[in-house]
Amino acid sequence: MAKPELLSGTLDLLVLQVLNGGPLHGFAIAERIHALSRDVLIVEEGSLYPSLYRMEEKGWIAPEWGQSDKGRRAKFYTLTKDGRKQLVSEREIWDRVAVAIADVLRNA
Amino acid sequence: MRLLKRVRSKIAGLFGGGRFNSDMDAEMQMHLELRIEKNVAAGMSPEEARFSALRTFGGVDQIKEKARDRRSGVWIGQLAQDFRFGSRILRKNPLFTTIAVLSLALGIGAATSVFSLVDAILLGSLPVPNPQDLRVLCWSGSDAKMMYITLTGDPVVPGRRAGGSFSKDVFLSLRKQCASQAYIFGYSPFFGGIARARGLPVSADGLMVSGNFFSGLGVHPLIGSLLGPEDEGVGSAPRVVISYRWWERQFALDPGAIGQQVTINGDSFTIVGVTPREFTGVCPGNSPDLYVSLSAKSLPFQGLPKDMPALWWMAVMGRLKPGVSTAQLQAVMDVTLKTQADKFITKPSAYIADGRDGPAWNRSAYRSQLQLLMAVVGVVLLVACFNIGGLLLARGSARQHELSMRKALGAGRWRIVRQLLAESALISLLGGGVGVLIALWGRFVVSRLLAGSPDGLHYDTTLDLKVLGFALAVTLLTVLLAGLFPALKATRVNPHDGLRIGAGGGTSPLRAGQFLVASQIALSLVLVTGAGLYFRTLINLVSIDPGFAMDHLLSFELNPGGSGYQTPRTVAYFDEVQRVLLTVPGVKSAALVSNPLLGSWLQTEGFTIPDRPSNGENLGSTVLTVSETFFGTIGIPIVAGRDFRVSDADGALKVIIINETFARTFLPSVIPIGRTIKFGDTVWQIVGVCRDSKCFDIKKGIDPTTYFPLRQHPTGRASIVIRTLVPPSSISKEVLSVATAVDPNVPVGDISTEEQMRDRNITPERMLASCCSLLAVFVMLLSSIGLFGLMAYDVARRTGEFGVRMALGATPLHIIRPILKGAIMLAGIGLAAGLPLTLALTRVIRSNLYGVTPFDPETIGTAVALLLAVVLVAAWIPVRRATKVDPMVALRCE
Repeated sequence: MAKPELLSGTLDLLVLQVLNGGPLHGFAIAERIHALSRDVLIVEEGSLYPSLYRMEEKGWIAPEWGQSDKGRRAKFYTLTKDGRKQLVSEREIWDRVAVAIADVLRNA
Repeated sequence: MRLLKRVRSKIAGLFGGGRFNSDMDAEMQMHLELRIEKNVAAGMSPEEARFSALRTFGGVDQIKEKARDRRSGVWIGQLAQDFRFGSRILRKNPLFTTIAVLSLALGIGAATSVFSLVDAILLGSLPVPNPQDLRVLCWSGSDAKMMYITLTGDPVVPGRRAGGSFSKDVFLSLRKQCASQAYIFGYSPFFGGIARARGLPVSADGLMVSGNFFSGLGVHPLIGSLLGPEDEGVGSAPRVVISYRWWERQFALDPGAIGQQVTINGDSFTIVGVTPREFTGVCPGNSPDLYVSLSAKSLPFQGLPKDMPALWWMAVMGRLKPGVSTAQLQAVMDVTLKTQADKFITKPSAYIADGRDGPAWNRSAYRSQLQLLMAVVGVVLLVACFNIGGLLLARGSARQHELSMRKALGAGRWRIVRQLLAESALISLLGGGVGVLIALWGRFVVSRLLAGSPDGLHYDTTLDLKVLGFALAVTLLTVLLAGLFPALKATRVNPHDGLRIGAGGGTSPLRAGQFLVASQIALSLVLVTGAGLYFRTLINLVSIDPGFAMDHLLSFELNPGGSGYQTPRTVAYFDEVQRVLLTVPGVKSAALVSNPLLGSWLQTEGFTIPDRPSNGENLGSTVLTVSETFFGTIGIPIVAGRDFRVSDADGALKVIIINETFARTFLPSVIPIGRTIKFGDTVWQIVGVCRDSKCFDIKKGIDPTTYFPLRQHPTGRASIVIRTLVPPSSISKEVLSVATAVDPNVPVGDISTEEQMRDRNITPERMLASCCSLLAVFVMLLSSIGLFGLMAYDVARRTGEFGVRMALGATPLHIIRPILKGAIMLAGIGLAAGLPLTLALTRVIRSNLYGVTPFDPETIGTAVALLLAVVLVAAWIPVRRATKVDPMVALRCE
């Protein structure tokens, strides 16, 4: 099976959704998406970090240095109030698009 | 709150680049370590785990670069980085930087200083409200019989006589009749008055103005008040308004100047106000210091009464009333002239010119020269840009290796272009900055060159925002022209090719460079030829024979009329001055003439020939009043009849002498001696014919000229001409003090030799010749630098090749010949392209040339030879370096 590529623009949505469950560091975010998609989606580090930095700058997520479960110094990202709002609106858009695509595939 | 956070993040992005970078490093390092641990846990060997982790992660630096680029606001930091890097590169190449900055600075400096003048002279309006409503009133007619004064040049109406001066009567009627169309006001200049402010005598120039002059223009006083209608009355107490310049010079801007007395030619005037600093009269370039009323008693016009109906001496301007068109004013003025001026002008009609910049004819004298200068400066700027383009192009190729390296390390193309553009921008900014400094100094130089005197033109040539904007536009254009092309060129390299050491992939920039150098040579040819033609013109003008010997002549002006002298006393005064002058050792003879020889102003009078019916042609003659010593002193021979005598005095038969052109034009095929001619109502008999001479303007042809004897045709003001036995400047001081001693109250003008007068006469030509020569030398220098750069680059590029060839037995001659041939070919192409361009452009300047055709083969040949010589010199240095190549060193480089 070909490795499915992430649809452009969906990475932000996935990251926000994953962070909705609580603060995580970059590696954990990638792993969590990988696991939640049942090993289908692989988050490329080359996309993940630019995306994180961009969202950090937009104020959707806030970074904080802390200790990882194995005692390492790690940068944890937390969803902010703006991020939560963004997540809601991006989910709405995604749901509409998904339904629309499904409709097309079913009816065409 | 959110905004605050954003701003903080941006500022952090700008300044906290270091912290941001180390954060990223730590974060990604941890990511990698976790991935490796996971891989090991999945059963990989430690090496395998590490390798796989790195592979999936991708290039750490690329991610960092991408992340950095993503952050908004980061471009400011990058720009700063670009500029920092650019300035480091420029500092590392001081020769390149100096040449580039200097050529640009000189180009921009020349452009800005010329533009300041063009702006002041051609684009400026009078500093008054609504200058577009101002009009200059003139008249035209098929013939004119009065004495009309050319104040600032006359309008040209084809086929008709036209003038810009009016008599006081006509001015007053115009003001009355046209009152519902326009505010009409008048003025007339006075020169060489003697003013005493705080007891010190100073020569003073100014304007006699009508009472509504300031209100018509819309000028308000800086301090005090201005003249008003009440000042026009003959009995009113004399008042004077002074200019800001005079206030500064005489009173050091002391407000206490108001109310003080100024004596002008013996009469006392009270200072009532100061004009604003920006107001410099109605003829820019000729700024009056004193404004007095038209009726000022101590200031007659040329010693003549100002209310004489036949003396047309005032310039008249008007401000249209709201809603009135020029045509409406013209109609009313036509009627007024028909009823008021028909005694003097045949078929009079009004001629109304735009007045936003005052009487414009004074500007038009410089207009064509300035436009030409603008074009020349444009060429200079173009060549300077080409030069920098060529330099950057060559450097771009030389830096291919560096650029390829940066590209391979992950720099985007846009980033590299931006980096190169930042370098060009730095060069342009430096060049522009230094250029403005040069312009600050250069505009005075150009102004002095134009005016032909150390004072310069009295134009306000402050570098205003418009001029700075122009300089900035030129600078930015240069960045685009000179920077973008080489930048794009340099980045169109495949990093792989560029990294191959010594790759010979540089042929295409060389071709572009060749094109630029050939264009520079072509443009240089145009300028060098133009400069050559102007130089020839100047030489021809200097060697013109004006019809009298110019050496050993001194002249200065006397204005006894200005001190209240009346006719019989004036003649006695002049006689006395001539007598005392002859006692000065070294003076051979002295004479009087009403207008300064080779001076700047001309008097024309209409006349009739009684025993010949006028068939509608214009009979007009230049008129001069001279003493009986004039022809002998100057050395103009009388070819027929007799010279004036002392006995040609009041009461005797009124006699005149005419020149040959007069006789040929108006009295062909008759013997002129004994014929009579009528000026106004007076009949004059011709007693002599003198040889033609260019007594007014050596560039112009010779006009019909009539000479009146001083004793019969009095003048209140005259120029003294002295023929000396010794070098004239050696006795000029003594001459002046002796003449002043006759009556210290009589204003005495500046003394100068006729050669100095002649030089003032050919100022525009001198100015063009010197400016063009200067710019031509500059352009040649630029072109040779361009060629030098190209050749040096070529030689450096082929060092290895030369080494191989010399190792294989090539002699220096073998190496030199093709390179020199290339340079000469390039010069040949440039010259061949420049020749038709030169011929096309020199035709434009035909009217500015004197005694030389635009296609003068000698000049063009000299220019071509000169350029070839410069090309050879510029090519020789790099060529010599090519022969000095040590084969061993060259081959080791590879």
